[in-house]
Amino acid sequence: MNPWPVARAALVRGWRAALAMALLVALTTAVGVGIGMVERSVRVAAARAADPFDLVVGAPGSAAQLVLTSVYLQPDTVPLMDGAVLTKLMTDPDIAWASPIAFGDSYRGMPIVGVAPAMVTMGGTRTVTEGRAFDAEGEAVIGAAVPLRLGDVVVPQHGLIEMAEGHHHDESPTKVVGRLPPTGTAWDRAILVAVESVWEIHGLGNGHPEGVERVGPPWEVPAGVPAVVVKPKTLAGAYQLRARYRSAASTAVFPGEVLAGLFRTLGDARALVSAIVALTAALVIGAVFLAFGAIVAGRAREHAVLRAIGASPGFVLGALWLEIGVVLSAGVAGGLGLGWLGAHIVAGPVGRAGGLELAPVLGRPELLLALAVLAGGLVAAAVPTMLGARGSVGAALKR
Amino acid sequence: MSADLAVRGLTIAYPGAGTVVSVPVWDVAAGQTVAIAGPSGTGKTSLLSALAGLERPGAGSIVWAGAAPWSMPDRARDAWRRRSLGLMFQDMHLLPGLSALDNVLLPAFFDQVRPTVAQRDRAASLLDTLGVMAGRRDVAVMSRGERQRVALARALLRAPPVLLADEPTASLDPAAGRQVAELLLRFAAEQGATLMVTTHDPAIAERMAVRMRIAGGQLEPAP
Repeated sequence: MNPWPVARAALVRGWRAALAMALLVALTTAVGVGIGMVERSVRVAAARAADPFDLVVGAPGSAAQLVLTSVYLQPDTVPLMDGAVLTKLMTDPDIAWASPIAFGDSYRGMPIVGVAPAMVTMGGTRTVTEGRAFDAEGEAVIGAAVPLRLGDVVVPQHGLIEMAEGHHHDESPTKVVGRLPPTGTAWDRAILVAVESVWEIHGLGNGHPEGVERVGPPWEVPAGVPAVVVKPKTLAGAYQLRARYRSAASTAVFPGEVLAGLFRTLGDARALVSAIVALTAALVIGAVFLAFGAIVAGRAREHAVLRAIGASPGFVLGALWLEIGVVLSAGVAGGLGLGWLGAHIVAGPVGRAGGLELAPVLGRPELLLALAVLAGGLVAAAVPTMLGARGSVGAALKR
Repeated sequence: MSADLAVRGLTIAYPGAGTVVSVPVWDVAAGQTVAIAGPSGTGKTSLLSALAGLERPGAGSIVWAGAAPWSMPDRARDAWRRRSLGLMFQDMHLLPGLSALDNVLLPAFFDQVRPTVAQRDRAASLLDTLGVMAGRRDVAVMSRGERQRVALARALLRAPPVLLADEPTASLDPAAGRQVAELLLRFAAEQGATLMVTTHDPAIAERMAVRMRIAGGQLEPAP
């Protein structure tokens, strides 16, 4: 048997209702798929951004704030860690390399971040794509997404990022000498300068003894810094370092661990969103089920005729199921497409808000959701379908 | 191939209304043409439904050429109806959204993935002979007379030994009605099929060899 011609005829005749039902399914699927894709892409991008930061040391306080400051360059009012801790850190035998992160300036909304030369090369594992690393005050290396060219001169503006009111430090122009490869993080929009410059601009000296104009450690008389990025030599060393710098003067965190904790907290919110998505999906499937039930009931006579001229109940059932199956499949496929599109449209603004480059991908959870909607719809449709295929043929014919 | 009919002790009852039609003994020879006349509401359609294996009678037996549809399991009865009967209705009951040709071929899809070439040829030639032009048109745009001719072609697709038609001309204008009755008789004769028609139109009834009527709840020969 082949009930497709009957299902096709029904779809042709009732294309408006079929389209409406498919759209309903598509929109529901799209919401679930879109939310899933964006949410996962945020987690992936956030975790990837934290990857190069094994250990971060800062002033005692909130671990989350320390991570936001260093990994995502979102400094709030950050307490400064005493310079003495930095000096001690730089000579710690468990450290491969370390770099302070100092803020306070911006240029056209892009943060100017004071770091050690090791931060530019990630301890020698990264090379600039253009130019070279800075090796003096007054030189800068820019992130991949900074709209400046080599040789451009940057005049820092004092104050927090995006703050309109600020005074110029006209006396300290900075020249762009190199560009970093893209990382997909907030660092792509950062202007990296020697930490000495940042200290000096704010009248804190350059960290070195009077008359020494060097860039990079050791800093004999360092000023306070909000955070220090630390690359431990070994994993065991990392844990020892963390323990050692958790003291009255400083705190030390693994950003990965802080993020995991953060995501655990966010997980509850995610569960709530998932529940809402699931509920919406159930409601829509219910609505489709009711609409289809009404359509099936309205066709009782047509089904009776099919049965009368020789179709088995299975044929009628197959035709109905094919019909709703086409509607649901079209809806779910459309929903996957719409969700994908929506996720890519939303990913830009959402990513910019968090300084992350989001790359939403259609993953297993979304495909499973789509499959669940399809399966749920087909199961829900079974009831009106079976009712439509059953019943007395003669009685239905006379109605 | 054709089929004779033997009915014994048949009663048809509506829920709450008791027995409406009773047929104590009735035999119809294979290849016969039969009219069942009578005003509407006398149970003509119910009798035809019982004979077609569509509506279970209250009591009695119906045997078509040795096959007793009401003794069969549901599935077997469906298959028997598919093989042995060609049905026509007052309201044609074609499937809108399908072309005339696809409507005629529809019964082929009940037990095949697709119609055979022979069936396609037969469907096309039936439509041709019945004077339905352009079988690709959607039946929804056809005239009633044209649609009833498509319905006749659908009933004839499998060359069934029995043709049952419930008021096939009642919804047509007189000219179209005469034409359809003509075609029914002609094809029944050509294929040697038993033809049974319910009608309240004496002009149609007169064309049949055997004329019955339902009077006082009994099936009896018409005067």
